[in-house]
Amino acid sequence: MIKLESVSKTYRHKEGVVHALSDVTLSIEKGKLVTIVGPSGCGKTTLLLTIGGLVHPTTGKVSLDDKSVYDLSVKGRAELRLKRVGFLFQTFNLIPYLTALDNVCVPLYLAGKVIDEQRKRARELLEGFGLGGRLEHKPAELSIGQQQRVALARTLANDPELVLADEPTGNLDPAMTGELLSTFRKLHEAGKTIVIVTHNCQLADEGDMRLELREGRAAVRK
Amino acid sequence: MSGLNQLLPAARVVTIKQIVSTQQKTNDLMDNFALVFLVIIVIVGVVSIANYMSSNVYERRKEIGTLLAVGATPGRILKMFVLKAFILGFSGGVLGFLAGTGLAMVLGPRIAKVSVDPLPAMIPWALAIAVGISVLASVLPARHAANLDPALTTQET
Repeated sequence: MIKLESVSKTYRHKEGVVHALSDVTLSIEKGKLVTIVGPSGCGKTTLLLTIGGLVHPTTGKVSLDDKSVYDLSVKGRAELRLKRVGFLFQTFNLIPYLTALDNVCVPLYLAGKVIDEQRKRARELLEGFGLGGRLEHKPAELSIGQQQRVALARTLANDPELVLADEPTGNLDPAMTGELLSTFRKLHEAGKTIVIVTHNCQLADEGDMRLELREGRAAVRK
Repeated sequence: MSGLNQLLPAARVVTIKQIVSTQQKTNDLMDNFALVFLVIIVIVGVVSIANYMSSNVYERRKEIGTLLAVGATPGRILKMFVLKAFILGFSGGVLGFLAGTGLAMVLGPRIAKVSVDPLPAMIPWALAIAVGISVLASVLPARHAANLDPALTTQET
């Protein structure tokens, strides 16, 4: 279970102080699909990254299965992200000089898997996403939809229990959005906890819980 | 000595000691020049490598942020860049030694009228200096890479 207790995040700039998150308290049960919606700049991504152990809150507590994420060391949080959390980025963030197969191998390599095991798992995932014929292609040689699927395969490489997706449909056309939606449904059915930041109404309605953020404050709408 | 000079006014009489002393001074001067050049080369090398590594970290910040987000530790990122510096330094050392020795063997007899023989004993020194300079120059950029904020770098387009 993910628990946020009075979480606030403040950024200080030369121009002034920005309250990205203000006193956010919420619980997300295991296996739930949660969508986060709200206008641009309201703190959606900050909230997602805070849940994933990437943005240290200014105040408040974030816990995963009753363990405080930010009481862990930097190394401990890296291990948490490696083994239990999978990030999916809007711009995919694939490594341009690596092939699709090698991109998916990255988290497996970081987890210390031997090379044969890495390649077997990466191949299985990519073939599962219909990219069996694109294993040795570099991101620039793939379509946007294919890049998205490689990124999703990388997200799932270490079989994380929590998937955090930041605007995953932001760069996709309606057909590809539909495909991604169906993948999220399958992952949800498989028992994964999924948190998605989105502007897409269809995706926003998909969740067990819809969280609306406005000026850093969260309200559950579903 | 002055008596000999008076007896042989058309000749200049010098002792072996004076010749050796003059040669020694010339050798010392050449050694000092070589040392100055070495220091300049080392400084230029450190600055160039540090500049290259800093640019490389800047260009790859999104990739570094992604690696941190998917579970790489800052220590691993640091190691990645230090290892790169080691490989660059080692390769540069080997190529530099081969190119330098080759050029000296070809140009030495033509320009300075001296024959140059390869000095295999210098290989460990060449590699140690090249690797040392490269790693030393890369420590700060590598630490910068390891401390990048993945929350910011992963969001860049």
